[in-house]
Amino acid sequence: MNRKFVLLIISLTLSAGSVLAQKYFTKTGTINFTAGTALEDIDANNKSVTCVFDAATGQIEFAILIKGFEFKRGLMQEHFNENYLESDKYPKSTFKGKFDVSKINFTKDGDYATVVKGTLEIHNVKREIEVPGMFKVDKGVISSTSTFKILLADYKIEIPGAVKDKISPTVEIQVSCDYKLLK
Amino acid sequence: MKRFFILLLTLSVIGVLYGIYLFNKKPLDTREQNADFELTSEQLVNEFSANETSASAKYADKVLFVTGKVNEINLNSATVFLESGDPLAGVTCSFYPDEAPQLKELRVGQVVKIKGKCTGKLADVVLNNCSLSSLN
Repeated sequence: MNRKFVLLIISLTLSAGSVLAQKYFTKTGTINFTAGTALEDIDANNKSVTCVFDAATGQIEFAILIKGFEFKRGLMQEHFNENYLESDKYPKSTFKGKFDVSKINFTKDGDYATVVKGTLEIHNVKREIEVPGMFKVDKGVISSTSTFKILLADYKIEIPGAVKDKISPTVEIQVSCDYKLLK
Repeated sequence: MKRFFILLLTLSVIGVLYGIYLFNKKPLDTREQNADFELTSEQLVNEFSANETSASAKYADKVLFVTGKVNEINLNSATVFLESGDPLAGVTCSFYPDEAPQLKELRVGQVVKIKGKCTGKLADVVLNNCSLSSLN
């Protein structure tokens, strides 16, 4: 009984150790989005995206600050924060999901296409999404990219009639991260 | 009467030009703004750790001078990380792309004063639109 307990503790410690050694993170990921139409170009980028993923389980989490999006035009940035995303009330957007690690060898250089399933939270609305992603391992350095579209209406982001023909109801989002091993 | 129309035309041209000016106006440049607060990275992180909601209300969207010790420099993304004394949270400072060349002069462990706009806290407190104010 006692020996079993000791073995359990040892194996738990070892597995905790190995899981810890397989986590990767970034605090400088980027997210760009485009929501323009033929009438107006609207794009913004955020350069302080935080992401952590576990190479053993495929758990992945992203977090961003809405106020970190930069636009080319000041008024657009103001409207985005105050009217559309309400960043004072809902300062963050997150994604928590999972991908299949069995087809990815994080220790071998190459491009690995994958699909990430999880919950995207924007503007205090949570939705289950499934998006394509690509992991790249280059000289041991892991990076990831993903491009997908969302509908503004899905996240209760309302566009007033006066600017309806300037803002696209579908927004294309591009995510890009270069990871480091979490020690 | 003719004079009235000329006046009206002039005013509407001014109005349209002003509209175009407003529409194309760039976001405020933090380098040209006055700072609202001046504090250390430790004070800033402590306030956010103690109460994120009230610290966000106080600092988010504000221009800050933050002094702290450089923990890491990421030249690719023009980002400098400051220590705060808390091993789990620091200050992430994302610089203007044209400020990036200056970051090559920085060394880990150096104490620096950075000016930037606070956007809130994730793992770290985040400053955006940063520029280097002074080196110690």
